[in-house]
Amino acid sequence: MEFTGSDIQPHQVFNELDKFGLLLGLERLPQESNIIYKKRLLDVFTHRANSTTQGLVYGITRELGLEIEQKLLIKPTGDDTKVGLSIKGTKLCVYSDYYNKEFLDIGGVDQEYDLWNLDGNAYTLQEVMNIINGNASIPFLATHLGSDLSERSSTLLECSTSSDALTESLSGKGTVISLDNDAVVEGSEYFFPSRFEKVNTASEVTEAHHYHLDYLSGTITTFVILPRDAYIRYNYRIKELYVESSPVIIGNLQSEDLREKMFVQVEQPNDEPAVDGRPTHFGADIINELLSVHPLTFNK
Amino acid sequence: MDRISPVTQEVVNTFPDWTRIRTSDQSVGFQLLNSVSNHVENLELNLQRLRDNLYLNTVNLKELSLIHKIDVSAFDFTKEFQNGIFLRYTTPTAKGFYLLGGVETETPIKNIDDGSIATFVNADPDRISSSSSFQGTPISISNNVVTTLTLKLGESNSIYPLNHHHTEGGKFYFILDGGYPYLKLKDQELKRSRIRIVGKNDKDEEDSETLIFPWKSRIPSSKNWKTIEYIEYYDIEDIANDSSAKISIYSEDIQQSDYLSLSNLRYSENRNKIDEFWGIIDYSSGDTPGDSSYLERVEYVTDDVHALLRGTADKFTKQRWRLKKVSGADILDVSDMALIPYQNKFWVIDETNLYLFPLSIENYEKFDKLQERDDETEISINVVTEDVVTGEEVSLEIWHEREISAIEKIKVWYTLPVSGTDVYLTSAGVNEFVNISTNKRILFKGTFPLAEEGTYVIRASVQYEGERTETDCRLFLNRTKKAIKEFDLTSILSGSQTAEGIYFDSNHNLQLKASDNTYYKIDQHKDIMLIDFNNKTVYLHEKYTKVTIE
Repeated sequence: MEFTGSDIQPHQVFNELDKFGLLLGLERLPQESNIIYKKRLLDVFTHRANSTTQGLVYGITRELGLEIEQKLLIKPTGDDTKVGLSIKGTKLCVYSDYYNKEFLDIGGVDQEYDLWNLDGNAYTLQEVMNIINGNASIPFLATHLGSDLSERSSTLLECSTSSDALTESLSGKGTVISLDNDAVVEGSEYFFPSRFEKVNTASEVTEAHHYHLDYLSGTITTFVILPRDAYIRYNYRIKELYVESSPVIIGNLQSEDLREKMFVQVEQPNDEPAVDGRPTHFGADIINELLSVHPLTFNK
Repeated sequence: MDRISPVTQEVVNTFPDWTRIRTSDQSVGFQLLNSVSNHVENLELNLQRLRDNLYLNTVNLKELSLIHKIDVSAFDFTKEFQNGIFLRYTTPTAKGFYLLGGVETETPIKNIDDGSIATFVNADPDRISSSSSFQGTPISISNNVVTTLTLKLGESNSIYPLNHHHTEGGKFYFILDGGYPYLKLKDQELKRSRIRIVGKNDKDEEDSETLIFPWKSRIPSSKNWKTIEYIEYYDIEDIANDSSAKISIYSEDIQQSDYLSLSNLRYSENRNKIDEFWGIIDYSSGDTPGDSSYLERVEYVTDDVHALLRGTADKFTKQRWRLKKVSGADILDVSDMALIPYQNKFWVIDETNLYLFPLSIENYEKFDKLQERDDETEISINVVTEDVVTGEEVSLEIWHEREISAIEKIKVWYTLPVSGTDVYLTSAGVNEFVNISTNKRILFKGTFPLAEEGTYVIRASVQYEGERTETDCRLFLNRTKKAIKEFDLTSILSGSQTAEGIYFDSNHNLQLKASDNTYYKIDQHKDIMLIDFNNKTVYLHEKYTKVTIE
């Protein structure tokens, strides 16, 4: 008697790695080897899944057995710590005064490139590289880390050349204090005690309530030794920003930007905000895709 | 039992140190406890595996995870009857078909006769193949003066960066030679020689790891590294003055003189935990054993940990085994070996073949001959040179162990293992007692050459006043190991490549290194099946394109 093809069925054997899978909430994919499964299990600890956009990308990428890879390395080239660059939603944003424009929303983005739009000049990694490296007003240098420059740039995860805010104690460190990080983002600092006044140069520090911050070197100069509760909160420019990418692309339907891409916007009278109209071709594709996952009878 | 467990020595160590049970592995007590200790060893090995499986970083990646099954409900198994009563099902003949170089190739599928899942899981491979290979440049820095470690990237004579030849990362191995003592008192604190590695790990993260050198030994990194950017060293004694402190760094664990036992269960007769190593000695035609390859079991010369810490203790060979092919012929040019994790077995390669061997120490044969020994005998046979192989000489002494009676005559002889010929050492080859001329406790000293493989029976008889005689008897084994499996590597190697080394990578895959730095991942295939006659299901280890059952 002969058996071929589907007669010979794979049969998964539960082993120790599957026990870890139960503990970590990550099932083995059909016919997945121990080596690959262990790699995914370890990834649970490095790329935490949660309900944020990033957490969803991490979780879904892992559950589908896909990979998050580093695609670009972005390094600053100039001394101006005000300039910043970020990938946010569907856009590549460039700021001339990063802290004020991004965090305080004064003046908005200086340059914006659409990563999702085929005509947006930033649709592929090659185009993103061209924008960063070919534009004198963007003092950053991008290096490609993969092998395929034609990959879609919408796969890049959100990131920024500016770090998250961090707080550093300044007590007991003398009158010339070198911060843990250099290249402090200009305008991002908050100095406590707030009675202290910032002066423009170190030579102008002539009184007890003066302080000077050299943004590039991350050095604080004071006239007196600071009190015990003194601290500074600041953002700093990241020296080497590794931009990660995942084949899983997540958009937020609450975002005006994505809604504009998915639905034709219908203008409203009296300057009221536009509302979503019929789906665009792009929107129709996504809706069809979603319908194939959840049948129309779902929840009826 | 057919093997002597390393656990047995620790079990018999509970007896006083002058007892035969503790000092002789041929004593009845030792052999009795050995039968129990073999089970204890199995238990210990399984506990080691289970302990490692508790943590993701050490989990055994060769645990069975995927097999294949066929529903054979349409197949009628032949029933066997005895006196009209159903006895069993007849095992059908099965063949599997797989693609080899694009050609469908047939192989018989053996049934697991005992129907045991353990046998099915732990079966040895029946064939090998290689599905992937890569070219790599291994890191191999030997005996570099430790101070050069401080030279960073860009400085002259800098060794950095050290890129692992597995691009996805792997372990590095370090040997610190000299710079001892490895443990010393400095500023009222105990300091140990150690290094700190800084670099990029296998997750592409900046990372560091500190390695401590307890004594002169090969230390693997516990993390997997893609790149080492620099290494710092601490408390390596008198660096400025002692230029003999040297470090060796390797990215592959091949062609080492010995490898630390992966189970490492051995204790000395003094109840100290000791390290056990396994290695290969390859003799050429001009050497005493002739053109041949031997497995060796290695220990430190002392079980005193302080001597090891001082760095003064070296290793020495305890036992050797001549390695044989499945056919029984000698393997002549073994180039490397690899101990198999969680199995008491090891792989060996010569230039064109891969062999699988059991690692366990076999028990003596011809135990019945020991019945010739008188229980209360005053004499004893001491073999001075335990580690002797073909072509070398066994040196032995006959001692008057307990001086109760006066001995007048003596006769010493041995029996060859294959021919069974008796050879007399005391009376010019004649079976006769000779008078003893000495009144010392050593009654006789002699040597004889090992010419045959197997168990020699050595006997000594003495005659007391009044013609009362007593005999001592002991066995001596000229050891060999015969391969369980043998595979031709020429189908994997290409052109003029020869096999140079084997090792297990960080994913527990067996890697074969060819002479031109090509690395082949060796896939092992088990052509076996387990039949569930009641549910009419056949379980297979392999995925075949076609299976026939008749």
